Amino acid sequence: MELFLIRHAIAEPGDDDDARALTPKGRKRFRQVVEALDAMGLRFDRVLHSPKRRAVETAELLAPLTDGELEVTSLLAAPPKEKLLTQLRGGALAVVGHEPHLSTLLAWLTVGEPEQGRAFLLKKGSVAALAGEPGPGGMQLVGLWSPGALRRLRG
Amino acid sequence: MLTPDRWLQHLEKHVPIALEGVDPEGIHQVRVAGRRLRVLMELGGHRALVGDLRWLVRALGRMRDIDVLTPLLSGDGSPTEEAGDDGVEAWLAGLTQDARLEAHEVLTSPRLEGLMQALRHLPPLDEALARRTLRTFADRVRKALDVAIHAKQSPEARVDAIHALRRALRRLRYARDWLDEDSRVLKDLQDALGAMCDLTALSRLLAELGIAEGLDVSRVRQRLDRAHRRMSDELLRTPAVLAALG
Repeated sequence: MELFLIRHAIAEPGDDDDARALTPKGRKRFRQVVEALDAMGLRFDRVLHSPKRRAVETAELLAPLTDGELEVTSLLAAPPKEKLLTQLRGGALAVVGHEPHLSTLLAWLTVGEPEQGRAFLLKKGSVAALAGEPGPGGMQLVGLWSPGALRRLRG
Repeated sequence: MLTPDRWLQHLEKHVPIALEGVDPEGIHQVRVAGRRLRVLMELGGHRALVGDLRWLVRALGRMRDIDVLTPLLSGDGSPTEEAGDDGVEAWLAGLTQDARLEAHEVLTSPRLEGLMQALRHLPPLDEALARRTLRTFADRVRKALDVAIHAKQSPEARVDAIHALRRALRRLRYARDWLDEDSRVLKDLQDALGAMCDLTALSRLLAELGIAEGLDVSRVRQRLDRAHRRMSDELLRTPAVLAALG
């Protein structure tokens, strides 16, 4: 399968972490990321996202690239567990979440060691593309794009 | 201001009741809240959480069907008298146990937990946009009504069309409720269609029973199907349906 790990766009600061919304700049820049992904011909069967507001809003911006459903799960608001791996299915899945959990998941899926997550840098709005079987060490990292790089790639 | 608060609280209140599994209202009210919240999200033009709310309602549908039909199948004078009651109780108990396990999985899932967490932080929706979107809900009822009126030739097509009309009416009613508009006529129509849909669900469950227990339930099903046809003929002739659309 193809798996795209996507960190939420730039969000407002706030005491209630679950309630932080995207900033106007974050929305604008992520729309440009979506345009770049569209220009690359990417389409998702499904988008799995965290319930935190900034992730819900980022997932909503990805909707035009999604043929199937957007699906929320509390598993993406916490460090990745085995149960999350069982949710990674489909032909082309986008996962919208947070750091450091996404880097941990990336390391777990590629080198089989979650603690190696700090080796990967996922800025807000970044996209990591993986291919293979969604189990520990079962996937290869085939692309890692910062939002700035993606904006420059826009057609 | 359009916020999900009231129906989110309703959902949160009824999830533990549904999990307990004693009062059928638990499952029913979780589904009602799910439907109403989905309409709210659609009024606001959202795609996020809409699929999760649809999933919640559908995933608990089997349990709700069994909750509704159990008194009909096990009480005196039930439509199953002609088919004989041997094995019915055991068959129902097995169905209930399976459906209860499925419902438990849904009600304790990370998806439902995430859904409620996300709804708690949903910003207020744009009321002007919601009023514009309301028109599409009425348009869907008109289309569903047209299909139902022209689906007289095939019994299966008619059953599906009545189901679709009921769903469209319910969604229009909920949309009007969110916007504090009068929806009493829609409620009456929805109740009448609901009685028909219960007949369909009963007929389909009886078919399953017939296969599982080797019983001939065809006569009972024919009676139910005739009743369904009679009710839908009467309802689709009433001017109240068109009047309800305003």
